[in-house]
Amino acid sequence: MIAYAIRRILVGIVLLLAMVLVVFVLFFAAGNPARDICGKYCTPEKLANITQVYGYNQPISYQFGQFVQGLAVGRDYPVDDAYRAALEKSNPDLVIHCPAPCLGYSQHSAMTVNAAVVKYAPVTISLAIYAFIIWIVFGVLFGVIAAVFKGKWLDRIIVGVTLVVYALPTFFIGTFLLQFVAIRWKLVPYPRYVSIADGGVLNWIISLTLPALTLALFYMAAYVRITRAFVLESLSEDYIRTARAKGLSERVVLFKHGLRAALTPLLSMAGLDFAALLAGAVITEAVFTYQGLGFLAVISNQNADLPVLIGLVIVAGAAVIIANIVVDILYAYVDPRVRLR
Amino acid sequence: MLDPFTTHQKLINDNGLPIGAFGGISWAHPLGIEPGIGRDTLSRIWLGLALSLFISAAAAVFSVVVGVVLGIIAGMSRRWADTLIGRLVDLVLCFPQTLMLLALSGVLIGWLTGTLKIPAGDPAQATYVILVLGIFGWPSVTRIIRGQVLSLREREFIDAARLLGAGNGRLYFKEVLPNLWAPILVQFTLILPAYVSAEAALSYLGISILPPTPTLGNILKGSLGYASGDFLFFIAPAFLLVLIVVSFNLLGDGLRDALDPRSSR
Repeated sequence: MIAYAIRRILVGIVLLLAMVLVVFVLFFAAGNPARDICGKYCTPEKLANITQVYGYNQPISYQFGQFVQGLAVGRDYPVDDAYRAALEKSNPDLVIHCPAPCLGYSQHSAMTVNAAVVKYAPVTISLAIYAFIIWIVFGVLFGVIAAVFKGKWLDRIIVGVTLVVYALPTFFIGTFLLQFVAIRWKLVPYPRYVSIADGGVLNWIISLTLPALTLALFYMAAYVRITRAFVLESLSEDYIRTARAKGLSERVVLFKHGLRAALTPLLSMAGLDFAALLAGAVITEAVFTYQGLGFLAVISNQNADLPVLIGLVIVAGAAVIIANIVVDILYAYVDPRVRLR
Repeated sequence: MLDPFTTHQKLINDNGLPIGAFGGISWAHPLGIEPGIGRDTLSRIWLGLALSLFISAAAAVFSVVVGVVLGIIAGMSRRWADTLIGRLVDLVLCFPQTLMLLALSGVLIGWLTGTLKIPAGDPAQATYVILVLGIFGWPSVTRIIRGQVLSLREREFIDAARLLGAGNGRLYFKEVLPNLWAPILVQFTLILPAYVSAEAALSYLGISILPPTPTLGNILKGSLGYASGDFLFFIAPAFLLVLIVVSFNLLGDGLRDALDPRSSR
């Protein structure tokens, strides 16, 4: 078991390094990062300064090594050694130390990428947790109901509604909820993010309801379909027939025998989807202008703030990789057959 | 007749809403005109639908071709190629899709216009969307095709072809590929609506083809501001998108049930 866990973690680290490398190649080999960051009103001085601060004149392999070193032990900006040494004497405030795990430095917002991520993460994490709870509870509930009433009108209604909700774009659902539920019908106050520190737990929950619902509806629709399929599959297994033949009540058959087998794979999927959400619900946050990581990605894209974009991609990838490892290890714990592969 | 760009200001009243019933429906404008600028709705939907379906179909072909080729290679080779492709699938699946599509847009569109000399504007934007949707979409296809190939390769006609001296190329693409048409068709019909939705989402973020050229996403984005002013105009593009996505999903599910009796829903 421990050997399996160690192997999974090692594979995860290799995967993370490979991902960082791919990100580097995609963002730097294709284009001219200094020119991209410099923007529309670029002067030769500004361009030279950006190149010195980020070290874009170095070979990519060297930059990659520096970045990995920064992740492991931290690093200093500006990257150019001579320039940094000169700055330390003339203007030490402009020398930035970025402690490990350093994701980079954004000259545009004059903060390290780590600081930016920490600043914007609370909204995203709150949203992700809230949405996760809604979509798991209602997704599984409606999925099981649909499976139990397979072919009846209740099943048809649930399946039909999920098909439509699944097809509706998130930004349309979000705009609809914002325009009608919040503004026209005034069922909830206009959504504005309130942190626990500012307004307490109750206001925090209220402020997140509409965006979390927007985010959850898409996943909910997907999980209704998946749950229904899994439950139907497990209800057609032989041991269910055995359980019924033993004379167990339909409730015991469903809850003790049917659901247990159906929901285990569902939970591992849910773990991965939750991790993917931590990258920021880009569209939902954009619709409600909630300042989470997805919102940070949108404004960084508008400002051509490449270091922040790269940092966000790596954080998101790391979240998925870690979730993968956790889910795999939990799964191996639950189901010993997995370990032997 | 179909002119999605001309504005008809005479048909717009002082509140910016179309004159006449149901959004200004008339013989000249069978679906009315859009509020605000006053362009013909039917022709915008027509062109937008065509562009969206073209982009989605091109990206879907890209994903399916890459996915099928890698899936066959992974399934047929018992050694390092399978491991390598498996790891590549893991790697691509680590990347957060929406975030990558957003983050790469600046850099890659610059590369497309600069290095590849694709004209800036709509052509470059469309190429970008096709490229990234295609690149991030193939792993699911590869997984499914590989699974199918694993059972195919144990069949006797593969052994027979091998004994007759068929090389790998012939074996993969003349013997195995023709037996995969059913899952390929199903995958294509299921990926296409997902890409129609994704293209709409990218339009919302301003990454896909930009206004005034219509796509489903652009039209939908333009309609969002009329939730209270012109409800019909607000709801119609979303209804159209749902219709298309649901239709293709039902088609895909139906094809799967018809072509592969083993897979139960």
